[in-house]
Amino acid sequence: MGTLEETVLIIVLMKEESYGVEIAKVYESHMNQSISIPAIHMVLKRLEKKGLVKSSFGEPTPERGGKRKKYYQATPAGYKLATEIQQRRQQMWDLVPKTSFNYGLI
Amino acid sequence: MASFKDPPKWALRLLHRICPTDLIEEVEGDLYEAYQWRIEEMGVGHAQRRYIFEVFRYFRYYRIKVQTQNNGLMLLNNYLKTGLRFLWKTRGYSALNVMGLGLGIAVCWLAYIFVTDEYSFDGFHEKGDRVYRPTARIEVEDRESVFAGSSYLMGEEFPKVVPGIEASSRFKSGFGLLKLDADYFSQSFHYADPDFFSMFTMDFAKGQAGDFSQPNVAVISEQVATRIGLEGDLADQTITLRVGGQDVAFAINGVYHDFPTNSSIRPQILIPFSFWAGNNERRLKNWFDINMNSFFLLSENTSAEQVADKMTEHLLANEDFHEATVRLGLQQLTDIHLNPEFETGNGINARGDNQMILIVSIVGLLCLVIACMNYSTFAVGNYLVRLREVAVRKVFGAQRSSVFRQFVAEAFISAFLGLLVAIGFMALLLPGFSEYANKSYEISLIFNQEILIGGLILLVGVTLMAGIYPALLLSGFSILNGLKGKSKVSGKSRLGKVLVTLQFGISIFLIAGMLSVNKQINYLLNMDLGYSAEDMVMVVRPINDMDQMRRYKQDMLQIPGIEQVSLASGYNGTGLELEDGSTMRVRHARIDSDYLDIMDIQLLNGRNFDPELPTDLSSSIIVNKAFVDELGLEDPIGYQTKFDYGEMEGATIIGVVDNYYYNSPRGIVEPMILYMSPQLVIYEHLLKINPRTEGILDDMEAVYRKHFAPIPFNHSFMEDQLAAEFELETNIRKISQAGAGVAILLTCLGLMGFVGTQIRQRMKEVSIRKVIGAEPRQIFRLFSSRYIGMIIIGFAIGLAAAVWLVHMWLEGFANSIGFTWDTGAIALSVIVIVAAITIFSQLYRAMYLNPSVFLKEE
Repeated sequence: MGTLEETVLIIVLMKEESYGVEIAKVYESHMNQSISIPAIHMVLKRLEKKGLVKSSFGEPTPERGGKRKKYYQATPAGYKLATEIQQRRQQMWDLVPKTSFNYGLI
Repeated sequence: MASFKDPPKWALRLLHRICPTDLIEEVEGDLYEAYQWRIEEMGVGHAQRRYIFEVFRYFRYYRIKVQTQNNGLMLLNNYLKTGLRFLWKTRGYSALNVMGLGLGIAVCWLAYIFVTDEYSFDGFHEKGDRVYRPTARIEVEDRESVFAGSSYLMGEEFPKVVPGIEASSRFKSGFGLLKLDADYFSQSFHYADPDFFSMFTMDFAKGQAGDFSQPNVAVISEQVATRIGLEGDLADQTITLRVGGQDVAFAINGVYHDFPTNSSIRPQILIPFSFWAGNNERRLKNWFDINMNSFFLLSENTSAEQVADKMTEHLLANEDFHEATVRLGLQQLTDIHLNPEFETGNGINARGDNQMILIVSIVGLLCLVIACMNYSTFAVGNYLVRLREVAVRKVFGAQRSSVFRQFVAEAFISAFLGLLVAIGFMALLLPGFSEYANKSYEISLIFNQEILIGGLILLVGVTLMAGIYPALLLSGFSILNGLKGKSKVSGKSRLGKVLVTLQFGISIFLIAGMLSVNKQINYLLNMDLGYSAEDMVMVVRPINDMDQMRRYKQDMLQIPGIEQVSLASGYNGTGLELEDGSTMRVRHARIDSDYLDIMDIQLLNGRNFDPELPTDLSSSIIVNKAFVDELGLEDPIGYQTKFDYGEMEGATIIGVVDNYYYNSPRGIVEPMILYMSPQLVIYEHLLKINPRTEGILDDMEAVYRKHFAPIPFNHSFMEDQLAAEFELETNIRKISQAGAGVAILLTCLGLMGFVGTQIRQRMKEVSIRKVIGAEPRQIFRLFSSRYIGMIIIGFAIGLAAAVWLVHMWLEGFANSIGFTWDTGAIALSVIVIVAAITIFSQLYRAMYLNPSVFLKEE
C-alpha cells in the first residue's frame, strides 16, 4: 500500500464517514500541500477495490450543484491494516537508537 | 445560503463525454463543491484553472467509457445495411454514380501515382540528401550561362582541398558498343570513381565493386548480366566493350540489382574513371572543361553554400577568367529531377517536366472533384425519399450527429465501390497512360504499399467531399417537417445549382485548355520549318577519310530509290568574335554541296558551295538570314568574318540561306554558319529516298556494312526525330484530351442525375400541365430554360481560368498562337450540345409521360 493510500485511509478513519472534497480539505490542512480531486478519487477507488473502504450515496445538496455526495466509510479490514502498519512502523522506530541524534542528523 | 457559481460549461460538457456514467455523479458533485471552496480561498480564476485541469485528469477513464458504452459505432451495421438497400433500390442511378466516382478516383489515382513517382526521384539513396553535384554560372557582360556538371580537375581537386566533402565520384556516360561473340551492339555504360559505391545505395547480387581504381574492371547490372548470358561464378568473367575504336575486356567484379526506375542515374555498366582518364589525357588539366558530372558527399551539418563558395575561391585562384564572372554552386541530388534550371545529360537521365506534373495534377483533381459533386447532387436529389426515414430515426432518439454519420457512411459505401471500379478502370487506362507519361507502370503497381496508401487517402477524401453536404443537409432537418413530407428547404436546390454550374465551369476550362494545347502543338508540328524532312533517312557514323566519303556516297547512290546523299557534321555551338570585340553565339556545321538541295533550304543570296573550288573547301562560309540580321550586314556576300573555329582562316560569306529550324528547339533560330572545310568530323549521313521501296533499307545496310562493319547499322527517319522533339508536347496533348473527355463524361453523369431527380420530383406538376394541354415542346422549354443560366455562369468561370492558365503556358514558347476566342466558342458549343442531349434524355420521360400514372396516387 502506498503512502498516499495510507494517508487517505487514515483520513477516512478520522470520522464515521467522509467524502471526496472533505478528504481533500483534511489532507491539505494536515499535510500542508494541495491535492487534486481526481487523485483522491483514484485512491478511493483503489481502496474500495481492495475492500479497505466501502461507499454509499448521501443526499443531494445545493453546494454540490444538486448532486449526491458519495460517502466513504472504512471497513474493519481497513482499520486493521492501518493500525498494523502503524504498529510495524513503531516497532521499527523503536530499533532506531537514541544515539542516532549524535550522527549529525539534526 | 450564498449563491453558487457555475464552473465553465464546456469543461462540464467535456467531463460528461469522457467520464463513465457510474462515476459521473460523484465526480461532478465533488468537482463542483471543490470549485466553490477554491473560489472562496483563492479566487475565481484559480478555481477555474484547477477545475479545467482536473477535468482533463479524468481522461484516464475515457478508454473505459469507449469500450463499455455505446457511442454510435453499434449502429454502423444498420447504416451499412440501409445504405446498401438504398443503393439497390435506385440501382440505375447508383450504378452510374458509382461508375462516375470510380472514373474520377481512377484518374486522380493515376495522377497521384505519376506525381508521387516524379517527386520520389532519387529519394531512395540513404545518403541522398547529402549528395550534391557542382554547377557553374558564368556571366559575361550581362549574359549569364548556366552549366550543370564539372570538369575532371574539379572532381579531382575539390575533395582534396575543400573541407566538408566526405566522398566524391565523377560520373559520365560513355560512348561505345558491347561485343557479344563477333557482333557489336549498342549498350550504354558509365564511368565512375571508387567512392560511387559508398555514396549511392546499391545492392550487389554477386561480388562487390572491388578495387575500382584499377582501369580494367567493371560492375554490371543484372539486366546486362542476363544480356551477356553471365552465369555462375564471377571469377575470370569479362565483358568486352568497344571504346575509342578498340575492343577492351573488363574483368567483372560484381553484379548489382538494377536501379529503380525513379532514379536520375541508372547505369547499366560501370567502369572506372581511371579508364577514361587514361584515354583522355588532354582533358585532365583544364579547370573549366565542363563535360561530366561529379557527385560530392558532404559531411553532416555542412552548408552547401559554404562548400560552393570555397570551391569558387579555389577555382578562381587557379584559373583566370578575364572579364567573366564565374560562380560555382552545388545542386542536391534530389533536386536534379525537377529543377528546370539545370541541364541533365552526361550520364544523368532526362529531367521530369513540371508542366506535365501540373497538368496531370489539375486534370486528376478536377475529375475527382466533379465526380464527388455528382455524388452530392445525386444524394441531395434523393433527399425527399429519405426525409421520412430520417424523421423516424430521429423520433426513435437518433441525434443529429448519428444521422450525419449515417450519410457519411453511405458516401463511404459508394466511395468504396467506386474504388473497386477504379481499380478496373486503372487496369484499362494504365498502359496508355504510362506510354504518354514516359513511364513503365504496370497494374501490379497498385498493390504496392505507398500506392495503396494513396488509394486510402482518396477513399477518405472522396467520402468526406462527396458525403458531407448531403449528410449536413439531411441531419439538420426538423422531425415535424420530415414526417409531414414537406420538401421545401431553403438552399437545397440552390447548392445543387452551384455544383452543376461549377461542373460546367470545370468542363469548359478543361475543353478550352485542351483545345489551346492542341492548337499550339499542331501549330508547332505544322510550322514551316524552312527545310523538308520528308522521306529522309539519317544514319549516324563518323567518317574521317575524304576518299572513303566519296566512295561511300557513290555506293549509296547506286541503290535504286536513293535520290540524293549528303554528308554533314551536325550542329555545334561556339562564340564568334565581332568587330566591336563582343562575342555572339553561333551554331555551325560542316556540310557538303548537296546539303542545301537535299534539305530543300532556300538560298536567298549568293551561291552554293562548289566542290571544284579550292577556296570553298577551306575558307568559304554560308550563313543564315538570322546571322545577317544580327550583324546588320547590308551586303553580306564577300564579307569576311572572324570565325576561327578549328583554326579556320579568313571565313568569307559566299551565300545567305533563309532561316530554318533544324536542330533548334522550340522554334528559336540562332545565327548559323555552314562550311565545307574539315573543321568538324562528318557524322550525319542524310539519304533522300524516293520512292520508298520495300528492300531499300536492306540495300542501305549492305552498303553500310561494306564500309563500316562490324559496327551495327542504325538509322532513323528524320520525320520521326522531328516528332520526337515534340514528344512531350504531344503527350501533354493526349493527356489533356483524355482528361477533358473524362471530365465531359462525368459532367454529363452529374447533369443526368441532377435533371433526372428534379424531374422525378416534379412528375405530378408535369402531369397536371399535360392534362391542361401543355405540348412536349413547352415542357422541354420549361425545364431546359432553368439550365441556361447555369451554363452561362459556368462558361464565364471556366473560360477565365482557362485563359489565365493557357497564357502562362504559352509564354514558354517562342512562337505561340495566343488564346483565340474561337476556342471559347467551340468549348461552349460542345458543352451546350452535350448538355442539351443529356437534359433531353431525362426530359423525354416527362414529355411523353402518361399523366394518369402519376396523378392517380393521391
